[in-house]
Amino acid sequence: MNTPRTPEPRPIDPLLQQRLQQLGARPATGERPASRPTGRRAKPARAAKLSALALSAVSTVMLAGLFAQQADNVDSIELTTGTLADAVPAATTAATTATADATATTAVTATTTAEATAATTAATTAATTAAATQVADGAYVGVVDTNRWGNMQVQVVYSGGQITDVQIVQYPDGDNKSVRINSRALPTLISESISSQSADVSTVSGATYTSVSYRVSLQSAIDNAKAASGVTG
Amino acid sequence: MSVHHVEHVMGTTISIDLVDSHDRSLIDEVVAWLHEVDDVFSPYKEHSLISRIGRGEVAPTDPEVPYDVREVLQRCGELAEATDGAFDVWSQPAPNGTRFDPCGYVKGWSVQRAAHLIRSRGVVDFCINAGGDVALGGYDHDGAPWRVGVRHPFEPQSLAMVLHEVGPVAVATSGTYERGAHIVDPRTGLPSTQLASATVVGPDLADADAFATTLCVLGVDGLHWLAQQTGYSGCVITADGRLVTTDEFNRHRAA
Repeated sequence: MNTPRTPEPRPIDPLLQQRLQQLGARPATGERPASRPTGRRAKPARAAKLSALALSAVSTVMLAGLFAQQADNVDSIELTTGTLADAVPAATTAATTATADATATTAVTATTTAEATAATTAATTAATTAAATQVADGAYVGVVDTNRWGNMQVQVVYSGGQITDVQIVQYPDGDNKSVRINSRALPTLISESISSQSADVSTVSGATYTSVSYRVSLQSAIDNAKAASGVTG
Repeated sequence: MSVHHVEHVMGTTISIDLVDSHDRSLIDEVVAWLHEVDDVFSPYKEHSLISRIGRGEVAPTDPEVPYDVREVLQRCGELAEATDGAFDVWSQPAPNGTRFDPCGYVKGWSVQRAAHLIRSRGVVDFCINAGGDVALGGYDHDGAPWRVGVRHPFEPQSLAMVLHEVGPVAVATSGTYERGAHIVDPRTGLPSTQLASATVVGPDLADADAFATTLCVLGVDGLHWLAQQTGYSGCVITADGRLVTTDEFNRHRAA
């Protein structure tokens, strides 16, 4: 789809402000009936083309208001060519990881990876010396699984024989690409970042529960918990 | 009194938090449902119905295809139309080697169903988090709005923002930050890289999840399309760190 050519809107430009007000008068929602299988919707890009400038710039103005000192950086909605150039390495990474990911699903149920197998062996050994019906309350850590981006380690918390929480003890931070993006990212977002430990949140959207290493470490944490409690199976 | 359960299913971790309930059997019912969905819909399982449909061994119209599966297929078809192909479960490289991978819809759909089930049992206040996609009912344990952190795409242990939500509502985040969770543009077959993440808030988790994925494909411009979807709002964080939101979305953000 074509990105609307935005003439580098400057929030302080009075002409732009006027234009925004005109465009902003157009209702953003509710005009078009919701899509149903019988009716073909107009192309999203085309449908939104005119209001595109309005919303982008309005959002930009809003952001500029929030982070006035960053206005020079946030007033463009165009992608930098640098970002687009990242597509090639990303494609390679994606293909590699997809393969690894497919393997990982098996890892959880069948524990085929080396680390998980080792943990299972430990669990079985321990289980032969004692027999219990449920895992004792407490926290149990899994193995540290190392992937190309760093270490991942998971801890499970049992209460009443059930897993009540899963916590990430170590998280990979050696991703060069992330670091590079990070250093290039706007201070607006960095200053916006909130420690998930200190923030009083009930839950997190966009969590990290899908990686191969997460599953490997989680499985071994569960195995360790059972081993420590003498639970079989 | 509350119940908190964590289940590993559908290749992710699903946590279920029931406020003011001690109904273990309800948890068992929800967990059984999620595993049933996994059995039928998993493209990782060679003999799942979805794998057989993907290989063309079973037609979607075949009488053996249950109503639930047809419902999912129909809605996926509607979404492909509505997004002009930006969300298309028939153009996704699937783990079973086919081009048919409805996971991007099924997870949200099954959790939304679980939320309906919980509510039908009289539990109003609850939180289900399925690998970062959240379905909420009512209020939290303190009777306050749920506080939903949105993961910071570049700092895994940090949050980009906090949303205040009163259920029933769903919050879905799709991102390219998690390796393996890359998003492929069905129209080109190439990974979409403009955005680091997209978050959508709305009444239905299945649609919110699909819309978040759609945003990742459409990029910043997708927000204009999202703003036309009644009841839904959202934000995107670009790969170079900019935050852009729909106007409505800012009402959800904590001050």
